[in-house]
Amino acid sequence: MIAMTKKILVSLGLGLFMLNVLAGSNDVQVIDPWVQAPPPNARVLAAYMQLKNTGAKPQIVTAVSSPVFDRAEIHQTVIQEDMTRMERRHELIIPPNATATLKPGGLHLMLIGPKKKLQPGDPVPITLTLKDGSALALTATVRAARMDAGGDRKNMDHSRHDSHAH
Amino acid sequence: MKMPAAMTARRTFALVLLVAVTIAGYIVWKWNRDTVVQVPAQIEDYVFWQAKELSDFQLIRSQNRTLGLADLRGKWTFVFFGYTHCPDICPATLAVLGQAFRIIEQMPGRAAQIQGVFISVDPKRDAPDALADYASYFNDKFLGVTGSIAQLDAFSRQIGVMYAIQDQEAGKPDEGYLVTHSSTIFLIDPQGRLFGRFPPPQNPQEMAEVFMQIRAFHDERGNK
Repeated sequence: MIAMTKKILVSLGLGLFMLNVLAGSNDVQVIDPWVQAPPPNARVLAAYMQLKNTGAKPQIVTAVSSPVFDRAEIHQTVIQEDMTRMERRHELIIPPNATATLKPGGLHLMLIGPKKKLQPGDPVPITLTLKDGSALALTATVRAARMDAGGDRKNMDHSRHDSHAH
Repeated sequence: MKMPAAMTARRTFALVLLVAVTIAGYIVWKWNRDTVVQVPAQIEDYVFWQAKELSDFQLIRSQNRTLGLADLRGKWTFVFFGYTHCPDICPATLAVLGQAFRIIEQMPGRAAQIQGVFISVDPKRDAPDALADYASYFNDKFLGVTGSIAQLDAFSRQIGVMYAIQDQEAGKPDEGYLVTHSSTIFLIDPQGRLFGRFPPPQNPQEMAEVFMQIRAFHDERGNK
């Protein structure tokens, strides 16, 4: 009986712990995650979303992974004097009560080496690892790219957005 | 009353001079009006002051075919430099251009002869056959081309753009390097001259409208 109770308590504890890890003890809310539908022969894709920090502490994403891809990284497209380049970011900081916006022509998750062919509508599981060690699991949906390129019309300086990447 | 002969001659001379100056002034004014580009305000940010004649070039398209200056004649060509291992801005820009093409094709008036050329500046990873499929996914009027570094350098120099391939880190997989490239879409007229440019941020509706105005301006100037 005692052993049984102990077992239940342990599994309950473990369950709560897992739930905590999966749902994130962090206060990050994921809004509208999507992956751009792959053109033929594309070996890298981009994932976009909004990450809303509802807590009072900054949240920092330090790593990204997906079972559907070999690797994933945090990248920022930088357009400067007509030259476009991508820069890898090792941290994505979401300040307290702020939203980081990952969108075409700016901050994005670079998904490298797809392990299967993705079609519009397919789910793409992605895990974000936060600096406090917690993990944030989300499922993005594959869909066609939105029809605007080159970032925000009003503000070309992406670093001044509500998104912060350092 | 009779004037002295010298005075008559002087008067005639002054009259002739006046007429000559007037005619010369008219000629200069007319020459100026006809040759100095009067670009409408709506398109002045998109049109080059002087269209630039391109010299022949060679790039490689699918099935070992080449793309040269002759392939650009008779059509308006939209050129964009990029690479397929570019997950963000390249597909986004091609998607915008593909949408702009669909809008242009629905616009009233004479059908526009248009084509898109996506030039990969990453020939090591982008094979011409794969590039053709990649580009035509965004619009069936898009060609995907690349070339040797020498061919790409020669063409991009004519357009006036640069690109830079990052050194590949030792031991890193093929996906491990990035390429810096121009973010502008360039417009070449049916005479094979660099005529306009669409800098970022690009928007399909705006691009389509500006293109139609550029074409009207181009045709008005007798470039049909």
